[in-house]
This record gives sequence, C-alpha cells and structure tokens, in this order.
Amino acid sequence: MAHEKLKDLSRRLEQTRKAQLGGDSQRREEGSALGLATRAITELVVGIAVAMGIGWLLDRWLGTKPWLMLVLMPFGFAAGVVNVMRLSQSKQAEELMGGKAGAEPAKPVVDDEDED
Amino acid sequence: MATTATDSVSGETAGSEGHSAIDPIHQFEINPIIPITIGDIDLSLTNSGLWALIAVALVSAVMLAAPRQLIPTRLQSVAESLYELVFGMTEEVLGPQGRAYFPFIFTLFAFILAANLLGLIPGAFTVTSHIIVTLALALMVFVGATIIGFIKHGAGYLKLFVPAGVPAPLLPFVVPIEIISYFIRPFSLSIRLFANMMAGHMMLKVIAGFVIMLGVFAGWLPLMALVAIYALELLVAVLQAYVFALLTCLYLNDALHVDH
Repeated sequence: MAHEKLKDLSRRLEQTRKAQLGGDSQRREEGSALGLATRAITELVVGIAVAMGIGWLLDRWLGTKPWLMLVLMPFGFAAGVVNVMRLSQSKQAEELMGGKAGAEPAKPVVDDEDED
Repeated sequence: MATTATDSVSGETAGSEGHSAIDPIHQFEINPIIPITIGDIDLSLTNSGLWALIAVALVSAVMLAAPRQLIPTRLQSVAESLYELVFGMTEEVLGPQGRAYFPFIFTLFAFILAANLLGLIPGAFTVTSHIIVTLALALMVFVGATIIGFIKHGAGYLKLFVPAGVPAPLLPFVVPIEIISYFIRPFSLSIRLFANMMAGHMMLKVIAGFVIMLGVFAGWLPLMALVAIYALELLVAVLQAYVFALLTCLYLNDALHVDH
C-alpha cells in the first residue's frame, strides 16, 4: 500500500525532473562547452610549458643548456595537440558538437575520454 | 570626486606604481591570523587556512546535518544531488570498480566547490586562487593514480606510454609525446583551476574599481557588468570543481584500465 504510493511519487518526480531538465538543458550545454574550452586551452599552453620545464631541468642537470629545452618544446606542443584531439573525440565533445539537440535532454555532463 | 575615491580604496598599497583605485592583486595576499611557530617552521593559521577550514566545516555541515527523510528538505536535496552527481560520474567513468575511489573523489569535489563558492562572498579569501593549493590537490591525484596504476598492473602500466598499433619507426616520437602528455596532467589540472579562480576574482575587482571611480553618474554601467560577471563566476566556480573531479576520474580510469 505504502509501496504503491512510493511508486506513484517516483513516477511523478521523474516527470517533473524531465520537464525541468528540458528547460535548462541549453544552459547546461553552454556550461559544459565552457568547461571543454578551458580544458583545451590549458592543455595547449601547459603542454609547451611543462615540456620546456622538463627540458630546462634536464639541461641544468646534464649541462647541455639550452638544447634539451629547445628539442622538447615541439614535443610539448605535440603533446598538447594530442590531448586536445583526444578531448575532441570524447563523448562530451561529441554530444556538444554532434548536433543531436532536442532529441533527449542533455545528459549531465559526464564524459568518458577515449584513450586508445 | 574620483581622487577621493582613489585615495580611500588604495589605502595600504605601497607600490611604486603610485596609487590607483584598482588593486586587483591585494585580495590574494596571505596574512597570518594566529601566528604559530614550531622550531623554525611557520605554522601560522592564515586567512587561506581559515577559509579552507570554513570550507571543510561547510561541507561537513551540509552533508551531516542534512536530514534523511523520504521527502527531502532543501538541505537534504542539496546533499543528495551533490552525492548523486559525483556518484553518477564515478560510476559512468570508472564503472563498478570505481566505487572504492568515490569517497576520495567526492571529498575533492566538495572541498573545491565549497572553497570556490565561499571565495565569491565579498571579503572572503579564495583558497583555490593560489597555485600551491591547487597544485597540492592535483599532485595528490597524480601521484595517487600513478601508484595505483603500478600496483594494479606492475610494469605493465608503462604500456600507457606505448599506444597500440603505432609502427615501430614512429615510436621515438610517440613515446616522448605520451610521456609529456602524462606529466602535463597535474599542471593542467592545477593551473586550470587556479587561473580560472584568480582571473575571475581579478576581473571582479577591476570592474568594481570602475564602479567607484565613475561614481553615481556613470558607475551603474560597470555595476551591471559586475552583476553579470558575478553570475558567470558562480558558473565557473561550480564548473571548475566539476571538471577537476571529472579529470580525477579519467586519470584514475587510466590507472585502472591500461589495456583498452
């Protein structure tokens, strides 16, 4: 008896939730787009910085200034680009850019990076 | 009118650049509140430490004080939706294996969220606007994930740096790139959070300075911008806490499942 009531409640909750999610799904998408953008930018910038940092430390240790730093810089750039490419293949990015708008309320921004 | 406002705001800045109403850096200054020194080590409770403690207290209060009723109160809804958000994310990224790491990820998320949001209270200190704080959090994740990876897979964890299906002549290029992209992680994780928080708070301060400089007649224009940017900063505060937790999950996922 109480069980029936609960089922009814959860059904109505689900309905309300769906209705409300439909309403603010656009704002949510904008939010996760901003998240993706900040991730992409930091990957690119930090990639170069970290590679040059590693190079600088190795140089100081091996006394080969400034060669390792210069050699590692393009590798850092490449690593940043690789990370951004992986980011763009992630589920989250596909949801945002695939244009499946309206088909279903955007899922809460949970993604899964494809790392193969 | 502008000069009096300038003088009153710049107050204690002793910079060589003279005085200006806009001093966006001042808010990041760390001041000891209760000086404590043990030996040569300065263990003072600073404004940063105080706000970190307040963040911990806030999270604990929300999670512990929330009643456990069938029909939730507002507070209980907050606690439950935070829990469900992080639990859903952990399950989706890490699978059932990830449950063991859920407490850690939730703690991290809740702490960063609370610190970010508390920082938006005027006059409060933003704990996460200092790189040393975010770097410490990120290194915890990075070192932890690396150790877990080696425990679970032994030397097999190094396969992470050698992607399957890459022809041998390309390996000298691919392996360094993979290694660098692995070591980027703690830095991109920490710099993203710190830079977002710091830039946002500096922007708020600069525009708030405009409001005072322009006074009653034109000041309402930057004031409107200030309100809009404050709303954006609320979004950024939540979003960056979420992104931090999400990336923690992704890095742990790499540690748990190397060979897929």
